Amino acid sequence: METVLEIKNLKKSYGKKTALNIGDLEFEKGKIVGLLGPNGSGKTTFIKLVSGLLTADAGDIKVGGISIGVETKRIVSYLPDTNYLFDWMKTKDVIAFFKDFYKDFDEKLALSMLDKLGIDLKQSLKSMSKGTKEKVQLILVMSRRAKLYLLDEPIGGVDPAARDYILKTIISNYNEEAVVIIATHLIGDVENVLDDFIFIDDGKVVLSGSVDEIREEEGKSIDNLFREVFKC
Amino acid sequence: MLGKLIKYEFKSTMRIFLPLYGVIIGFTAIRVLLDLLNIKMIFSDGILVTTYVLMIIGTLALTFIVRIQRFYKNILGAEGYLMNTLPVKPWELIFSKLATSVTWLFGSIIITLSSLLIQLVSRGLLKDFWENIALLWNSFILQYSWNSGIVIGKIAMMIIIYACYVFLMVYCAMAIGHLFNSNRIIASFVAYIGLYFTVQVISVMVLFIYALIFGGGLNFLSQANEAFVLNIVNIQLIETGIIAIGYYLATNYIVKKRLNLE
Repeated sequence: METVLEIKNLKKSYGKKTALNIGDLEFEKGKIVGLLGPNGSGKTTFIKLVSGLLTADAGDIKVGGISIGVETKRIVSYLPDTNYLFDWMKTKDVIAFFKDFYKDFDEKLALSMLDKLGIDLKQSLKSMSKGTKEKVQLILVMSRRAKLYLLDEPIGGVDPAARDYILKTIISNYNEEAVVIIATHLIGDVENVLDDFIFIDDGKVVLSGSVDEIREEEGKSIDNLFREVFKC
Repeated sequence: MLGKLIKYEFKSTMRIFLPLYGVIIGFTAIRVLLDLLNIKMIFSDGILVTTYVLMIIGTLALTFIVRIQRFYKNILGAEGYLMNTLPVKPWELIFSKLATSVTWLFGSIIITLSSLLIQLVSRGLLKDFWENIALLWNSFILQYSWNSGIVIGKIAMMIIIYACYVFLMVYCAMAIGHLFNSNRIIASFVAYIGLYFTVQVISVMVLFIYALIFGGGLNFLSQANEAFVLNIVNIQLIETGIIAIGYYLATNYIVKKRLNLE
């Protein structure tokens, strides 16, 4: 199998606090991987390191065999856990923006998804609800034909009906050549779409494996396993 | 990609600057209209002049503040999530901000100067104004036997270099502030003060070295001749250019290698 994302001895601290300290990880193409952990466990730090928003203190990250830089940003589609679009833009402006900067952006796909969710192209982002903004962001990110999708809490701020739609969107839009990493603590909602999982706590990988194996061998859902591992 | 970045940078900032310029043009038009119709003002002229001066200062100050705030928010702040994950090189990001800043600064200078000139015309004062400028200019040209073309070219170049220098110094200070884990804005201010003093020291040293070598010692001011002064201007210009490039490279290094958007 072809490795899309390769992590080696990654370390990151904020001042004296170690935010992330993980050994070697490989993500192979065609997989949807859940990066699961409680709040403050290092999920966002991991995603931001891979997207190039944070600089690692030590270690190596390679996407498609290339170290983080302009070349990897071309093939990585990143959904942050905050609003990152320009508020003054209308929906059609952000579509034009993505089309301008990302060669792999599929405008038709984005327009059809926006249409299906009834999002007005002329509405400005400023006047949208938080949930609608999140939907627009997800549609933009999933409309790219990327090699690696990094989704940080993609379903955190939307209602359950929209959650289903978002997850369906993720499954139907990623391709067999790509890897999707979903960072979340809402495990019950995402577990059905996951192939693999990584439990992360206090910046370290606690457990990882295949979702099906856990189900078959231990007869447990990932949600149950999570509750056991992270028992307070 | 650089062209696209500049395009979006203009689109983003147009919303602030065009209305601002509109207000200045409107204000100028009203004043000209009142002059033409010979309407006596309820307010004294003094208040209007004061308002006008404040407007000019405000416009220039706002140009600086908006441009600096844009850099911070767009690259080192919340919008940095979008800008820093675009497939563009950091130097392109910084250059797009700088080019747009310098252009808007020129825009603000031109619009305020035009407004002033138009009012002078409407009051029939332009002749006096122009004569004074011409007098000053000629005395300059005569004294140093310079060519007007060279002087104009040099002034334009000086404005561009100094404008780049001023913006890049602030960008660099903000980038240095970004290296800290907390209190980044305070760190940026401290960095700015640090850069300012370092540059002052360097300037004075360069000047002294030059004076010692070419000016016959430290009492050079008393025996300053034309060539000597001309060279000081040139040296200052080159020095400013080099320091500006230094700021650019430092900012680029930090955004490229030390970015930490928390």
